[in-house]
Amino acid sequence: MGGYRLSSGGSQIDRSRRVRFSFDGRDLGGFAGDTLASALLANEQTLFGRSFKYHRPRGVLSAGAEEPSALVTMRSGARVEPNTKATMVELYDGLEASSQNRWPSLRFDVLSVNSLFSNFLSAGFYYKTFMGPTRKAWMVYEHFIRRAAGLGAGGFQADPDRYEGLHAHCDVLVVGSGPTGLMAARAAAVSGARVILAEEMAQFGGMLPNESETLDGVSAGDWAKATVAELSALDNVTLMPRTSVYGYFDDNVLAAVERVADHMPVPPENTPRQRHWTIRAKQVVIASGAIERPIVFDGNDTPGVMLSDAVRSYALRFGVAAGRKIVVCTNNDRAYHTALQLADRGMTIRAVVDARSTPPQALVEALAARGIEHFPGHVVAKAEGGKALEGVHIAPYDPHTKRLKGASRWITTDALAVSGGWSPAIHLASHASGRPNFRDDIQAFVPGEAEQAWRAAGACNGDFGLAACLAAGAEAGAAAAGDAGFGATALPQPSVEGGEAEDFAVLPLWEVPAIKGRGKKFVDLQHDVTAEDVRLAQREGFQSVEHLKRYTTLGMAADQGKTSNINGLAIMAETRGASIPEVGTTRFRPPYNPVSLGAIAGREIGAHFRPVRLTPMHDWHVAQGADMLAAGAWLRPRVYRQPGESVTDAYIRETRAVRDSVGIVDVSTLGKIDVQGPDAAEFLNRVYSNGFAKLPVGKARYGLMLREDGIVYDDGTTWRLSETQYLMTTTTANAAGVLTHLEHLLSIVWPELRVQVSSVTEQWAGMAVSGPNARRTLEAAVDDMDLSNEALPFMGVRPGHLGGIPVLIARLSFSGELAYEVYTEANYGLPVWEKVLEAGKSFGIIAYGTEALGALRIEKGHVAGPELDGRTTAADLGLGGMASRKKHYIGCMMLDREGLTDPSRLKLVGLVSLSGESIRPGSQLVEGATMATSGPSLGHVSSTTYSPALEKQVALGLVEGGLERTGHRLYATYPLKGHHVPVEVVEPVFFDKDGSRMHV
Amino acid sequence: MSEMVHALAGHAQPGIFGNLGEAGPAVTLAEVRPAAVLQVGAWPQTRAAVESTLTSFLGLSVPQAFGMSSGDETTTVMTLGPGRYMIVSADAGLREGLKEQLDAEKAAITDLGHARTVLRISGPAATKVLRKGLTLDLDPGAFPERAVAQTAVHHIGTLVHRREAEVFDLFVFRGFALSFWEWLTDASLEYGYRVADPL
Repeated sequence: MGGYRLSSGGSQIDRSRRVRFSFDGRDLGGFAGDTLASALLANEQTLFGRSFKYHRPRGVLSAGAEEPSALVTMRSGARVEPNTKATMVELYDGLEASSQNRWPSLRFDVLSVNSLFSNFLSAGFYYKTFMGPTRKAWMVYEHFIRRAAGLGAGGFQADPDRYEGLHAHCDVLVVGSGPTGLMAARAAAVSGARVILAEEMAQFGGMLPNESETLDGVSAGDWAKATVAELSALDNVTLMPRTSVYGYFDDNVLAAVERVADHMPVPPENTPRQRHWTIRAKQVVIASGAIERPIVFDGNDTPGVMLSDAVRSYALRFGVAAGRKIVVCTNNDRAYHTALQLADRGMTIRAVVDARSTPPQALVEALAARGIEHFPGHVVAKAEGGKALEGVHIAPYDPHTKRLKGASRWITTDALAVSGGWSPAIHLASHASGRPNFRDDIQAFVPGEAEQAWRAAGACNGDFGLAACLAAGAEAGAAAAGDAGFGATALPQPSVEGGEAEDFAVLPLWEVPAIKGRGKKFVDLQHDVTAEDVRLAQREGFQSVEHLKRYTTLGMAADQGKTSNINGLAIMAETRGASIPEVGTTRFRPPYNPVSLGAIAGREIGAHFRPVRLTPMHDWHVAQGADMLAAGAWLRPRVYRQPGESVTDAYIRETRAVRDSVGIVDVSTLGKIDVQGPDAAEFLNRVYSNGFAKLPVGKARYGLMLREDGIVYDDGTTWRLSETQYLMTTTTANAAGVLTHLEHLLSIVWPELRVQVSSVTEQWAGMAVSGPNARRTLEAAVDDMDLSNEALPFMGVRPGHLGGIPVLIARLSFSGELAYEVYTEANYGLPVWEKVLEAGKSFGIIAYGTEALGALRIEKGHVAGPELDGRTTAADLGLGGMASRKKHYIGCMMLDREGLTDPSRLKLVGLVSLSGESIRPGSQLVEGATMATSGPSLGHVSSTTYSPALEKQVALGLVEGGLERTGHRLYATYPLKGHHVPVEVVEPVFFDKDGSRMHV
Repeated sequence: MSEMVHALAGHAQPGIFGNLGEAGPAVTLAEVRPAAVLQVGAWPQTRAAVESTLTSFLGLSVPQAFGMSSGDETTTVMTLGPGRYMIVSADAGLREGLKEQLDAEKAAITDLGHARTVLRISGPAATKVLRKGLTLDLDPGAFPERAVAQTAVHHIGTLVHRREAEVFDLFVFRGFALSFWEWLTDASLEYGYRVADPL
């Protein structure tokens, strides 16, 4: 018993192309155009998997994206993909799928024993049992529980396939390509608007191939094909099949996933498996159709119980009968048409069971003419069968009392087609709308008030009839194009003939009473939530929809309750004695269906996760084997290790080499800002806390920049290149922030100043040449410059040439040695660097990295990022003299506020390790000699290094009282690592206090 | 100036890569090495004067609309904002010449010739490649030939200049050039690309 392939029919399959595939290792056959679900049904496979919590056997419920049950694992190895809806998988040759959540096999599953304990495993079971007073139990059991409950398992290997992110723009986006969507796209397209038509399935047309009407004299399916052909010929229309629009975001931005190669074993080379589209649409037409809903009754999860339209789809599109003997169970007219269509194709319809007692006479007669048994005023009260449906018990039903009112009778069947009405697919609309509205006639929610530029039309808007959909689509498409600025063009409506009634009214029927006891009635098939769970939630006080959802997990599975939310709500309403709109509805959030992480990540993976920023000398550093370190986006050489050296060995060697002879370091990453204009001097004087008005041309000055609140923001040297042009340098970290700050000041605060600031960080390569032999090295390298102390004094800046290349040399020192910074245009960076190295060869010049750079500056007590931490004032850093009292500048007004002049503020000091142990940055400074007696924190350590000059472990720190503690012993404590190091407070300048080494 | 080492030197090797259709590679990528990239900023009072100087000196009309450019064989002038222009030229002498024409009282001129790496993508699949990173609408109605926009691709600030329907110049910070190149070539694999010698 079970499904089989009909001898003819199937608008979507190609019977001339056989396709081989495997399910749980069993080799099976299907046709091109099949889905995995249709092919499995055709192979009499009724059992698709085991359920989430109770491991109950489950089949397939639907034929589309709403599928809650038929979840399979696709492929294997690195390409394994769990929880894939068999209804959405297009069959391809060699397809490999397996069932989930069963052990050892699908037919015999050990944990189906869970089902016997279902009375205990009810809503909130885990919380009640393992949390709260017995929380420890959760720690013990969590691992086992998580193994027992669940669906498929992902893999741990990296996915070998490509995923890409793309952007699209259009005037009108039409979501869904059923009758509504096709007409909307046509109407918008004839107006000249740029249209994107997105369809989640492989074929356009939505439900059209299932309809028996003719449109303009051809079958509905053929009309769909012709319309798609017409649209695809238009330049202003983009058709996107296999594209699921999953989210509606602000500013009319929508997100969609295109399954480019999921229907192939392996994507073609350099082609993504999936594309993630960000679509910016001026207007959106949501034509996402409606989802048929099941009826909740005892045993309604038995494999073989399916939605009525799905049974029709399998027959008409795929030529697959869902069973040998089909029973139809309904509360509306449309399921009758399904029964008639199936019967006319030679399938056996055992009975039509209708909860309504007086269905339309024409339908009753049509059944009679085909000899189909008819049970008006009856419901299916129980489905029986383990792994496959064996039969149903039907019973007379009183819709007023909502009770069964007589004895039940048995009908043998292997497929039950259920129709409980339709729920408009309002998911996307609900991402961008107010509260959905409930409509009594169709007993369903329709989209609420639009909060963005969209309109819903057709079945998605509660208009279910074919003619109604066509008209609504045309109107919505034209209106959307009109709102996007395109004139309306009249579009002739196709003439609809024959076919089915347009009455989609339903008798409210959500849950059928069990014949005996409570029965096993499933509301949410994917999360195994029963009608009893909903009632339990109500009894325990979780009456609000939001609480119901979280307590029972109703609608929280990967299908977001597409087939269960409304039933759960209705049962809650019934239990509370309230109406459905009174109970409310849960709003849907993106994504409409699961989105793979690969699609979201796109190509931003591995080394391409974020771009990196490289200096002009980068390749040289790498070739020399430097350890590269990220500084923001920049990569900087940390140390150039020689064979056998540790990082520490290397930076000590590099530091010594600079102090002993000469070294060169790449400083291209420093922020550089071109400050130009007649008012540039005045501007800088207002921006820096120290004077800049009188800086002569050809000189540089160290400048301190404060925030408006008086705290130090950034520092750096600024060089006056001409009367009206300066080159400002900033710290690497603050380069972009300082530029923004300056632009803000110029455009908002002082728009009258004629000054322009531009980032020239990338225009210049910079290198610092430092050490006693720096001058001799550069003298050997430059062409036309006098570098003597007289010609180029400390802080002097001169242009010149080096090996024929224009350079700018500034005599600046961060290291405390005789030092120069050599700037050249970026594309000359590497040749200049190499020429300096060549010139310094006889002095044993070395390249040094950021570690040695740090060691040299700490030895000199120069502050940097760790000290400019957004909490320190100029005075705290010993730079109080740089905060002018004679002029106005940013930050000056706040300098005298109480908090900034408090004598107990932390102030910069030097620290020397008394034990020879290294001092950890971030250590707290305390007085207590042991960690246990450390006492309160008096400050902290900011920068640390081993000082090769002193041969001691030293640090800079900020401590209460500052230099008043000179000579005192403190402890640098770091309890997390068990460090407690005795240190002596000293002046922050450890080396060459009078600066004689750089003034030579 | 043979000693210059451009950001993609040693990285962008000429050749043909990726998927090739019957028509061969569907895009061509090349580094453009203009002799001058200058940013000119006029003061509010001197905007008209600067535009007229630029017009007569360059022999090009300065676009009045922001985000547009005009150009000839050697030189392009882009209007980036009120009183802000970018001039890209194959004429190395332009820098000094322009500085003589426009002193500080009139405008600020910032040399960005080494600060930017310019990549040209051309061919029938150019917009298909670019939409993998550009959020801009590249429809000719929204972003016509000669249009210019400041945007970002793969977290990298990018100035996009549509020279022709299927020819785009992309200006990025030199330091990001290699990351950008890796993004661009990866995005082009699907359509097949040819790397041409630098222009």
